[in-house]
Amino acid sequence: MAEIRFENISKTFNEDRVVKNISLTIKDGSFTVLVGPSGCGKSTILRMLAGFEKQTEGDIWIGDKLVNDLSPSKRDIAMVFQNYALYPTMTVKGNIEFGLTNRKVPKKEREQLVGEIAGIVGLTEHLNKKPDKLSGGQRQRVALARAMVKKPKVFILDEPLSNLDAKLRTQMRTELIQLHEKLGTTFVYVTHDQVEAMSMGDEIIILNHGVVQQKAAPIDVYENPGNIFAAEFIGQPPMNVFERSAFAGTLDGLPEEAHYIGFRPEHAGISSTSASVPHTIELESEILALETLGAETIYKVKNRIGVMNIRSFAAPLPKNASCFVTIPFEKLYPFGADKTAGPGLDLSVKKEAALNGVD
Amino acid sequence: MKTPSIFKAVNGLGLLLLFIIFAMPFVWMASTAFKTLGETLTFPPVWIPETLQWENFTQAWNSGPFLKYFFNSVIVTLFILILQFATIIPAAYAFARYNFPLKNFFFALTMICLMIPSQLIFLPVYLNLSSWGILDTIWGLILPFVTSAFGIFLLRQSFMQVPEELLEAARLDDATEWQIIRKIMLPLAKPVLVTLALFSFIAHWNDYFWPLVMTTTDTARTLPLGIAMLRQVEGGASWNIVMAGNLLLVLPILVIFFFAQRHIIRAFVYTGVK
Ligand SMILES: Nc1ncnc2c1ncn2[C@@H]1O[C@H](COP(=O)(O)OP(=O)(O)OP(=O)(O)O)[C@@H](O)[C@H]1O
Ligand SMILES: [Mg+2]
Repeated sequence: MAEIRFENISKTFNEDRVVKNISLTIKDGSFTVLVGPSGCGKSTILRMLAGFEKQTEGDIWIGDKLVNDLSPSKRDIAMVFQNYALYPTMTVKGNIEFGLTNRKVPKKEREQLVGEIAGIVGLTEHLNKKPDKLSGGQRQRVALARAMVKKPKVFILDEPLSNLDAKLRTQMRTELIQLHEKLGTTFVYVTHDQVEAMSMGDEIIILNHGVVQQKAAPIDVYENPGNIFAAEFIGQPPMNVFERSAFAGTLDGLPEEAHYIGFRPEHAGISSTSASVPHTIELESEILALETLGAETIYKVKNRIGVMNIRSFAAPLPKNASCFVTIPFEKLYPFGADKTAGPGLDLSVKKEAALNGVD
Repeated sequence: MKTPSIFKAVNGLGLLLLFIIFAMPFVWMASTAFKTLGETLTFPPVWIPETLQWENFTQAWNSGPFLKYFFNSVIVTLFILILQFATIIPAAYAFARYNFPLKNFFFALTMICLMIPSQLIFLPVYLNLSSWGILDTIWGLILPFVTSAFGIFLLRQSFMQVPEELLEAARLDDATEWQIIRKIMLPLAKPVLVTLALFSFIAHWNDYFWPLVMTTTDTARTLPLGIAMLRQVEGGASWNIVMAGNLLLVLPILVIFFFAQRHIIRAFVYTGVK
């Protein structure tokens, strides 16, 4: 059990500042997900936490220990790697046991621990196989077992599911969540998959270019994105964001500070007939393209504001048809000049005033 | 229909030719080793001796202190093998996995060693060993070969292919660097290690030049020298005895080859992949 603190952490790889002055607290026992596009520094942050990479500046605390100068094995952490990194010449048992053997844990205790963990992850009948004889999911479990057997204070997982097929990934997702509940240990989990982040984390840290964009619970990230990047990163398709000027004539009386206005594709409605609903923007639009996914349909439409994505659960409309897109006023997200959502940008207080501008 | 069969025939013929070129000297050696002295001199040559002259082998063996030569050879090759591994493994690991000042410079230096023919440096090495007073000793035969640039190069290649995460996982598992080498790197590099061991063994078991330069008495002479000296006994060369000695010399290599074949092929496939 341990809280993790990053204090003003920066990392520079030959001139290249990859992580920029990050300060973070990861709560004890939380399942914290670091998410962000490729190359944003997620792995670098994990590797600094694990001790494989030394930060250029700043302090890292695990629990009440300053770990800046501690070697990886002294940090009381365990890591699950993206490609599993199982020892190919050892059996499953050998893999799980390796750390214990190196720590000179007596054989009897070792046997017992390995047996116990193998039971938990369902590997008991595979203990004597080599990793290359296992399926992807089983290898993943070996990697988990190897991490668990050391009873670390912190689990570090770097995209552990990205090598699995979609079905297995969903299954392992659930298993990992249950495992976290059972162990109650701090999990730090890296992914670039926002669905994974939303479904697994109890806290999400969104990163871009080595800077934290937002840190909040998944539902908060969704409902109150801290800035345009977070708004566009979480959600599929991403939030539609337009400059204020696009709304000229459509939406007057916007607060001064609102330089950008966004709304989520699933919050807008689409229909073939006009129905002037109060508190709603209605836009006559043309359907450019649509993706029918069964339960839902994703449209790309064009109207006087611009090109936008609309996600609808109603029966699909024909392509190239003209239609009406409605956006409830309360679902609009304003952002400031610096692309962040901040105080003074609450649209609801000016709701009535702005409503008068709806044509 | 026609072309492929012609092609096949040409191909087969080519292979046969190659086989003959490679096998001929060997078969000739084996055949001569069982001949009488008279049979070695007849023309046209006979391939299969009338009766197998097994006593050629005892005669070869007894015409000098061959037990001594044999032991010298075993000790020299074995020590070279062990010491080479003791130096190659850490060096290859360091070159593959560490960053240290002047790493590239030292690696370039190692590669240069690979390119200099040994005949070029034998004189300074000889003088060096002479100043240490170990000429005509076993150590004089061993010390110049305690490491191998080729070995470092080949093993480094193989170590570099091991993914970094594997080492990181092992470090998290409290493994020392030595344990990482022994439990992870070496098992993965096994085909390369077998190849290196074979190369080293063959090269030094058969080595003629360096023992010839180094030794002046029987105390440190090795088998190849002993066999070569068979030619000088009894005035004219009795080729049947020389060939019997040669056959004895290559026998251990043949045996090892026979058992290690699978590994050798794998090693070449392995190094050829990347
Ligand atoms: N050892 C290194 N030397 C130089 N640059 C590095 C090194 N490791 C990472 N980088 C750079 O740091 C940046 C962040 O890399 P990092 O691996 O942390 O990204 P990531 O967020 O994990 O991306 P991905 O989702 O693709 O795994 C990249 O631009 C990468 O090129
Ligand atoms: Mg990464």
